[in-house]
Amino acid sequence: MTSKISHKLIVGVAGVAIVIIGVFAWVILDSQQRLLLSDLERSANQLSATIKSSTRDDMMLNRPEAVQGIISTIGAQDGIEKVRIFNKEGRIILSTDPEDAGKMVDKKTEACYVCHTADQPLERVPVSERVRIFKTAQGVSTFGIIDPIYNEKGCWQSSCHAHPKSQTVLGVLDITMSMADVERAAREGRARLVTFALIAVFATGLMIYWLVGRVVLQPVRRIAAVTRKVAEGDLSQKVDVRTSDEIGKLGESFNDMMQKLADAQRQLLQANKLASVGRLAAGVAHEINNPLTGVLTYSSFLLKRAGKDSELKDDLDVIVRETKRCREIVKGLLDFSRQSVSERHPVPVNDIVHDACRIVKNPLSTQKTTIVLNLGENLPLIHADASRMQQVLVNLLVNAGDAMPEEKGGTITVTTDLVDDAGLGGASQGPREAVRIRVADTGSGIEKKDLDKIFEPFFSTKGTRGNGLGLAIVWGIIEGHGGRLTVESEVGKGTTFTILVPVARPLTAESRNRPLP
Amino acid sequence: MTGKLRILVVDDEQVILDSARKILGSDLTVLTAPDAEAASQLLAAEAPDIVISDLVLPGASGMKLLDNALEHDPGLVIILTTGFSTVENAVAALKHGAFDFLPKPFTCDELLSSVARARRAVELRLTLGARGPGERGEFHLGVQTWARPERDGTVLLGVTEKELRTLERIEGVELPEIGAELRQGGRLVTLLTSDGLAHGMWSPLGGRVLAVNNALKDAPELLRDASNGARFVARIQPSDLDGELPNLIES
Ligand code: HEC
Ligand SMILES: Nc1ncnc2c1ncn2[C@@H]1O[C@H](COP(=O)(O)OP(=O)(O)OP(=O)(O)O)[C@@H](O)[C@H]1O
Ligand SMILES: [Mg+2]
Repeated sequence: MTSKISHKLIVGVAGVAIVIIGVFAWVILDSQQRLLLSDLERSANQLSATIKSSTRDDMMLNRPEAVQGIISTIGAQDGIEKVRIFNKEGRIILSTDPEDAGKMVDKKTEACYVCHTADQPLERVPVSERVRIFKTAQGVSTFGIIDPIYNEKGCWQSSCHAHPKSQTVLGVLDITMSMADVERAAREGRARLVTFALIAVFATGLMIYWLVGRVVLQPVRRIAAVTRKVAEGDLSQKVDVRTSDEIGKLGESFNDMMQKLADAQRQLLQANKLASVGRLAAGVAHEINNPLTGVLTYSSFLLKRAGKDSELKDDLDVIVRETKRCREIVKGLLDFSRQSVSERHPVPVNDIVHDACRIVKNPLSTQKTTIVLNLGENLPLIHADASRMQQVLVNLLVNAGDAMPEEKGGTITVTTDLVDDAGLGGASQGPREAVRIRVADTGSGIEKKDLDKIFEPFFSTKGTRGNGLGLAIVWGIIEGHGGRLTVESEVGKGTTFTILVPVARPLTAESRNRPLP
Repeated sequence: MTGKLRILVVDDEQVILDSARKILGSDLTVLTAPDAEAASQLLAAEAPDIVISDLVLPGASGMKLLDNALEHDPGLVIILTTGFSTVENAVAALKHGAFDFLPKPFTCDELLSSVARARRAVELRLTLGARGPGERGEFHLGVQTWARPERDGTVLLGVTEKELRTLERIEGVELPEIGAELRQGGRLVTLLTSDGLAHGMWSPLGGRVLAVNNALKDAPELLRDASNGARFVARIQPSDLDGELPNLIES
């Protein structure tokens, strides 16, 4: 497909080049021809003037042999075909060609019709009309020029032969010259030009081929190659962007798309993992519940009957307590598998933050951890399930509290503000905004290798104190809200969880400026 | 009533049948069935007073068994046991006329509490199907608890008069905490009675607890006092009223 594009480009550009070069060549050839002709014209004109002036005296003295001599001398020159003098009757009175002598022509011949087209013959005609180009019977291109011989004082006063004074034109001097040389020169010029034009067209084609290949095809091929790899499932591919032109832009947006795709895939993966874990959890819970019921009923029954036997009672206590703990784990699993976001309403995000903080305040203060609230004012309502969102915050706050150093405690900062919707699923609905909730702690931080895993169910670094379900649940809830959850962390410094939740109603510039009813 | 009450326990897990027999055997005649078919036969042949059945059974669902049994004998007191994953089904079961449900795994005390109330219900011949003397505008979760939506969008929750009649003298209450999230079919309140049992009551609706009836802490028996309006246990902000009300029985 790409080769077809390049073919089209090359053929198109070469076509344009051919036309342009062709027109140029034609213009040049034409002007060259004109130049040659005007040269010819000028020299013919000069020649006829020379003949006229050099024969004038002999004419006047009526010495035809002398005139014939001059004409013959001149006519012998290279390129001159014939020199003829017509008299008024159309008789050739003198000619370089002896055969012509005495021949008659009428006013229709090429030597005469220039002046004799209209009813009243013209007296004077410009040079350009006096020249003519024709082919002889032998097929030789010939150039002719006529030069009228005008009556003058000397002629009508001359005694020898009477030219009445009323006559203006006495005869016509007609010189014809072969155009073979001129034509050869023109032919040679044309051949050179055509050769040059062909070379130019070819060179342009090559150059365009090279340019198209380098500027368009290579980058497009690179993108295509990456696309193929992506199609084979390798989402880590990136286009090497080398230019800032449209193709560079294409590469950039391709990379951008890949980034989004990779993100989306990761989220999908996480969601799928959660879904399958959810199903698994439900199944496991159901299977485990029955044996657990046996253990729990028996042990609690025995505990009841143990009465005062304190040693046995203590042992049974342990069994009942641990079984109850199992029950809580299973319950947690099931809560997790059931974490559907049920009812979403427009709710004020800061209220949710306040409620969540109230719940964790006591346990946190015993850990010497303080919560700093940095809540944005006049935030739009978010479209959320309040109790689920509260669960999210409680989980994050409890995790932050757990991450604090045992003795010293630390600070948790909760920030809410409004941000431009950074790619939250809602592009079709125009510009949207999202509320951002950040929970930042000064705790232990999370190691890089763990960052990818913390959202996975059952990943915990807390041993028996943690089930590793907290963040998986948080993820599921945020996902269910069409929101986004990201984490940044630096070991020893702390961790920041960032949540983006879509606002309740898309705010357009219009609706925002409109006064509230 | 002569002799011991008879209880039929239906479960596909032998260990549960065994433990039920062990725990309940001293006071009741315990019959057991591993599946719905055997249960139906025993129901017809032995006419037990109380049935404890799992919701998920080989053969037929416990719900089906419940429907059939109640059609045959509307006075039958049925307790359904269920894994957590089917709390919603259990709520539905209460609507179908079950007396109580016990989420698995349960402790000996939880089983005893439920059975104790069931026995009282049998002795009192509480007809579960018929409408109780509940007030208009009340919604009941089975025979156990009620919910009364108020004008301001909050809902009052309490324990039904029928349920209270199955209890011995109430000596203590464990109220939910203000701000806590209740779930439909989750724990609403625990009532401690003079026979040493703790009776968990299921919440008819989910929502956030706005207020609790603190007077009950000092005088738990106030709960039975139908004359004043102080019978309620808690006031909640429901989370999904429209979605959950259809699971309740309107009086
Ligand atoms: C420069 C223009 C010119 C040319 C070329 C020319 N003539 Fe004339 N011709 C005239 C003019 C002007 C007249 C009228 C006045 C005159 O008689 O001098 C004329 C008159 C004539 C007359 C006489 C009047 C008539 O109309 O019968 C004849 C015959 C004639 N030309 C023949 C020719 C012949 C034959 C040729 C070609 C060999 C020729 N001419 C070429 C301009 C020209
Ligand atoms: N704020 C934090 N600072 C440092 N580590 C954290 C933080 N939040 C989470 N973690 C790490 O991520 C792991 C997973 O957290 P998660 O909440 O999913 O499980 P948990 O807290 O271990 O157990 P659970 O929440 O189920 O009781 C934690 O064990 C901890 O290692
Ligand atoms: Mg946690």
